[in-house]
Amino acid sequence: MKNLKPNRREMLERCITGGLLVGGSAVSQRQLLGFWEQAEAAAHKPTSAEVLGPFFRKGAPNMKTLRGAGDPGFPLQVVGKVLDTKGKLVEGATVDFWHADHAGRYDTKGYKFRTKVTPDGKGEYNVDTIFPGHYEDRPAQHIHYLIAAPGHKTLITQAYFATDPFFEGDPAKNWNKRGIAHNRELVLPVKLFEGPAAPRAEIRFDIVLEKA
Amino acid sequence: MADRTLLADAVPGKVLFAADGKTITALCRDNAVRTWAVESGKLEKTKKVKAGSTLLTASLYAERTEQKTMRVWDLTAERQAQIVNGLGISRGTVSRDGKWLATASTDARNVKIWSMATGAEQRTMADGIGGTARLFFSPDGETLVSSNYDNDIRIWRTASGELIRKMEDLTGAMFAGEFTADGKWLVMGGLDETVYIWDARTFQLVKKLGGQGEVISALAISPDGKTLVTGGFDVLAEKNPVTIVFWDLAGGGKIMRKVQAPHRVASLAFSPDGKWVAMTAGEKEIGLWRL
Repeated sequence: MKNLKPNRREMLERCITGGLLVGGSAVSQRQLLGFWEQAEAAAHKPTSAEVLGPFFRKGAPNMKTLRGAGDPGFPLQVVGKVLDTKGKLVEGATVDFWHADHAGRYDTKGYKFRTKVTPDGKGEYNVDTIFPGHYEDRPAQHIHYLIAAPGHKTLITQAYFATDPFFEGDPAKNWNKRGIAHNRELVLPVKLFEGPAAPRAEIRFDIVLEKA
Repeated sequence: MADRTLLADAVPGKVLFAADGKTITALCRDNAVRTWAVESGKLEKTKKVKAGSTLLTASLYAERTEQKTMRVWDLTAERQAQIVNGLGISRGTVSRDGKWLATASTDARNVKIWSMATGAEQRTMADGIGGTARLFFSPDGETLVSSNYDNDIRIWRTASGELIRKMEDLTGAMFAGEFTADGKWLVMGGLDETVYIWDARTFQLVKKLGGQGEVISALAISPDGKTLVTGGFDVLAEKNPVTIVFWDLAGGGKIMRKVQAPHRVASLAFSPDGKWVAMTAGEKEIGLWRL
């Protein structure tokens, strides 16, 4: 029996003919459909890959709080979801997450500022940490990610910070400075909150995985 | 201070002795391959190469083109030795007998083996997901080792491409590695500051040596297999002094001597007679240590 449920394209076409989706400027119905589909696809574009780097260590414990009471460094909350290209939550994802300490030093023997988290029931991961420091070889602050999930391509990427002095207050212009960050969209905006004791910052990094 | 110093116009990286031990060759940061006479310390030859080139042996270097082709040049004969086409080649190595070229591609996450005689692709093997940190053949050319930034080590049979062993229990990438000249031991070191020694027949771990106190960035083994030299790397800064450790490999791995290097050790090499160790470490010179 034929499935009578219209597909996404048919639904959009109906919306256009029914006047539910209207062009803001003079465009043809075909163009309008094209714009909409393009924008929808871009919203769930797979997250761009970046290099793994030499400091990855397997076997990090699953910890949400990486920031110790006396740790120097500006408090940072990192939140996000792991989605597929259709915008659905990915089941069984693991997120390896590691960065340098406030002075730019990686823990090469232990697992300080390293974790392997699993998103919660709502697909959200949440890590309480500090802003990574700068170091000479790669002087833009960054957090490394390795995300794996059954049925999906393993993604290696990094998150950068739009507030990083390295981008000179203009990440739109300087995002690729010295060839460190390879993707503009990985330079993330930073939200600042007033905390009970001290201010804290937050970044949101939603990750989109491709099917294997 | 090293026992002797060879001066360079630019900072040398990878350094290798010629098979007869008379000359020493290094690829320098100004994209020139320089060759010195060991005895006199005189700079004998400077060959300008393309940016991104790799020194494969003391007489072969590889340049990469925009078409992701690797062109191998013979420095001595000044002619093209071979050309291979591969995707995103990131590492290259040639077997001691000159028969095989192996390349690693970070984009394609694979390792390929090519015939140096014909340039024909022989085998393609899947490597890890993080990029190849080090790629090298056993002395007899029969096995190929790749250590990946994802922490795993893979060992293949050159002729068949068969994966003989995958070591998955390490928790840090190995940046340096070699077999002993007799092919009996596989020695590697890297992020976790430890030297690992495996039996190269069974690939069982035989010994772990601690005491470097720094990430290990380079190592070399004396031709008689008795001495191991490892060089360090400070994770915070390239400009801090680091340590070179001389280990008594024959006597169970005891530390014999520690000396300082100015910065991250880029490369270490033994002379064929085992009397000298050459070191490059971020200065415009090659340091030579006498054993």
